[in-house]
Amino acid sequence: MEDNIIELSPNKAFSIQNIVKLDGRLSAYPQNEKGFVPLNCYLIKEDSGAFLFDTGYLFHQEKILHQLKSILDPDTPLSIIPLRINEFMSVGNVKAITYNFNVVAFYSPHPEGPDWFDFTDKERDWSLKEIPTNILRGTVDCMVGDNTDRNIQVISAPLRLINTSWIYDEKTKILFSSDMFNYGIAEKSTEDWIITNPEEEFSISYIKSFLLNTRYWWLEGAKTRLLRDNIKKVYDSYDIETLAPGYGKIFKGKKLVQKQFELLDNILDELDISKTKAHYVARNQMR
Amino acid sequence: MSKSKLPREILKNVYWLGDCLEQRYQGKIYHSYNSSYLVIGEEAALLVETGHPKDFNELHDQIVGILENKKVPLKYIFITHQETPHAGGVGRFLNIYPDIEIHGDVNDYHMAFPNYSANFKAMEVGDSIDLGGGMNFIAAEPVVRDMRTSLWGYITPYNLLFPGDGFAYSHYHWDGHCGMIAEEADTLDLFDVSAVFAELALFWTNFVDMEIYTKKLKELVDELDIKYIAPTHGLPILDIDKTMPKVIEGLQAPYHKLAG
Repeated sequence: MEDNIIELSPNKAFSIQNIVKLDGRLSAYPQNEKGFVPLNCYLIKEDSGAFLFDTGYLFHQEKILHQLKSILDPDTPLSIIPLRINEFMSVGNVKAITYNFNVVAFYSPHPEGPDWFDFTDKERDWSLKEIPTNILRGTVDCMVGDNTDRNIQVISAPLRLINTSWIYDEKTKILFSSDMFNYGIAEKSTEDWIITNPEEEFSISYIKSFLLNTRYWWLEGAKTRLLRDNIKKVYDSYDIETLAPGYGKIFKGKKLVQKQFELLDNILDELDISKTKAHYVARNQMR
Repeated sequence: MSKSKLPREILKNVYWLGDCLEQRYQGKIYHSYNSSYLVIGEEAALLVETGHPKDFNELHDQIVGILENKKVPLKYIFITHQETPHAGGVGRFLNIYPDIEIHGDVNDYHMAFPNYSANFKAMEVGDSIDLGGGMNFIAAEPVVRDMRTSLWGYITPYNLLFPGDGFAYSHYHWDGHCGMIAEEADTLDLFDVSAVFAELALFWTNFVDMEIYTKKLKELVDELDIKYIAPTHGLPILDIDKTMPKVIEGLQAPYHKLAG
């Protein structure tokens, strides 16, 4: 198999990874964070159709196309769901992938998907609008392929900064969590990019600091009760065996997954206004 | 002139550009702007925000139309943050103006536009760009952020603030508000449209006591002696005393509504 592809479920689900060294220039990570992380796109497939979640940065375009070609027949009908339609990391290669594969649909919270990702060239390609855009509102059920028993559910992320979708794949029991559970960072570029040891520990203070120094600066002293309830609802609704974030290491194993949800819940409880004083957080204020 | 009634010169040599985006909410169709602003000094012009990709041709025509009479080159772009309605035009500007300098918080852009990574110049609060003739652009604290990397700016001598997603609100197309400044749109319920925008587009404001942030906002306006505000999504504000209180009240509304 091509470098940096993890087969999460045999011939059903793949993580397409590109490894980057953290140097303070990636907004998804705290400015002072060091180490290596995978940026993840995910392909799920059946013989008669496939879905791609996120498309990566333009920087990795050539490699991503190569990786995809190694696991997907170019004629297979492919639908693309950028989990964060407003961010370059999610939409950077939608256009290039559309030119190289049999893309039959886009999914977006907004109508006219190409309006949101056709921005890399001198001119627009208006023919992209011939590919239909399915609108994401509330919970959306999709079938993978034609007349299969494989369904995915696209939901609005219960904790987010900008418009973000999470996706649950019933068949493989994977939750694709976009910009949540992203704190799995490697010291070396040669480490495993999937965590399977149920005893692997991440401290509350580390995860809390990670959240507050990235896109969740506002959680300190927020009213987090409703956020916790909505996250719990997701955990209770789905039988999750793998947590697959849009960037960072993947967590595989029920106990490991449960632990990450518990840690998040504990942190949100600690940060609630009843326990933590709310205050103004300045740009680049590290905690 | 576009269907959105832009461009419009809101202050001498400061042009409001862009187009409207439809937003459907509870059976009504609102409009909101994905605005850009062109600031023209004696030696250089600076564009604040690159607009939504869908508006690029319109925006570019507006810029070319203005600058061909001014004989001043478009030399700089400032982007408040990396989200499509703000930074969606970056790639196309780089293709057309390969020497243009793009300023702001430049995290991520080296990954998004690797062929142009040298064009991106990092700014921090207080850094400035001299456009000539006394027109300066200065980076400012982004009080209401949509990303960790948001950055605001203002220009002197006008003391006009560019707050990106701060002061975000839609307007009533059906009442002819497209192309109006906030104080001209006298049937616009500023509290309501600010509250709706915050609830839908600024998720975090539903859970945070925004009085903390709006207090800081007022402090920033006082400290920088801001006289005018040019938001990306709202109508430009030329009378702060009249308009700002209503927008602030709207920004605080989702927290009171949802979190109880």
